[in-house]
Amino acid sequence: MAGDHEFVRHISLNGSAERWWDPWLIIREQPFFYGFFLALS
Amino acid sequence: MRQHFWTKRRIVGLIAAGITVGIGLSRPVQNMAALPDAVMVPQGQKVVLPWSSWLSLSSASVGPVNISGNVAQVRGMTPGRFLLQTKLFGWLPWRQVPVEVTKPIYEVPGGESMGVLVNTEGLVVTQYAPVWSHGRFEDPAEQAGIDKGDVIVQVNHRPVYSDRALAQAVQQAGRRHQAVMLGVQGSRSFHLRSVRALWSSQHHRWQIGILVQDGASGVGTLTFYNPHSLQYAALGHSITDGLTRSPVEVHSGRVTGADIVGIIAGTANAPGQKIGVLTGGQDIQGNVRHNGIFGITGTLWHRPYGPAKPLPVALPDQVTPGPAHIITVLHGQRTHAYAVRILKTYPQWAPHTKGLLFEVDDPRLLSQTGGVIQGMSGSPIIQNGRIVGAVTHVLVSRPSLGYGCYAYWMVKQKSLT
Repeated sequence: MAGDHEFVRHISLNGSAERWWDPWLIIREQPFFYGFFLALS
Repeated sequence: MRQHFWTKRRIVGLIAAGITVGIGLSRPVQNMAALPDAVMVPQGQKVVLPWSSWLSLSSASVGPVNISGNVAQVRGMTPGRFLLQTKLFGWLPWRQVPVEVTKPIYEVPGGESMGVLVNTEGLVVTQYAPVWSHGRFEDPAEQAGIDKGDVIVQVNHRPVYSDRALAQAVQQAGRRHQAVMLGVQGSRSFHLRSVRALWSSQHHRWQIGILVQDGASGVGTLTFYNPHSLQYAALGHSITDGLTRSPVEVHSGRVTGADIVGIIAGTANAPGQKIGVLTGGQDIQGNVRHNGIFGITGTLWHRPYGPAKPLPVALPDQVTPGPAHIITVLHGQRTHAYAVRILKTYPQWAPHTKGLLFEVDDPRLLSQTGGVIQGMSGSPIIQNGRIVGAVTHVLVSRPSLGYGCYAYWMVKQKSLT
């Protein structure tokens, strides 16, 4: 879980930060996190 | 109570709702919903569309289309337009999808670093700066109803493009003990605000208590240009104002060559940066005509130095996960290709900024920059001899991962402006 929000923080290259959710990336980077929610559902 | 809850009507209703949701989530319905509103195919190439087993084509549309399972391949045979007329279950007329077969799009890939200097349409209010007057701080602009992020487009009913012009008008109004009339474009509407200028005993001049920004500048990368018209696309993402993060309206602007004199490598949570020095008119020179969500477009005044071999621009569905390379500059003005791996492509039938996710593989790039850094935005991504996209974003926590937009949307934006 540590730092999971960091996987969806982006910075466009002129320095402005943007955030978006990328489920694919979260699943790839944090399979445990995904498995936890899968188990809950 | 339980018996009352499970009435026959309720059970039938729940089953009907379940069936409706089930049908809605089924593959054929999902694919029908995913069928794009319009399709463009370069001549001699093909695009793959999601297809539903519930759909069939009317006889007039069958020629260049090959249906196999859940996909339909549309071949671009001769330039022109035709309609895909679909039927539901073979008899009920369904949607008509216009298909345009275009000539293949060729552009010369860039990769050169460039300085971008733009003047915005109006002045963006970035901060309040209280005025020390008569022994206390006052905020005349805030009191007059001007918000941070507003854009001042008129001063005394005349268009304004520079902070200097606003400062002159404020001095003039202050000396005459008059209010200055500002035309302000807020987030929703335009309004006029009358603001009185105060004499600042700190700065010894008339002030209205705001800081404004009349332009933006930075280092970006040329993505591609047309070898005939010299129209270019660069940056891959819009230039936003520092406060509201919305794209700035460009009044005028220019691009110029940039010499990369240093690199600040990126680490987790601290994005790196190219340090560039703007050069004269020797290499890249041009104007900036438009700032859109896929970056800036304009016309170069002359062809950049170096080889100018045009490459075809890939359609979004022609981009696949796998090896690719990006072209960018790390030192001086010399472009190099660096290996990356496209991890994920996002299916898109309409313009959207997040097109593909990639990871930097090249040890030279990783050792010097840590991955993707600021100033690299716009670097073209090449795969299988096609320009597929441009670098646009970096993940702050993992600088070796970056996002890119599809080059095709940049071409579309360029052709519309």
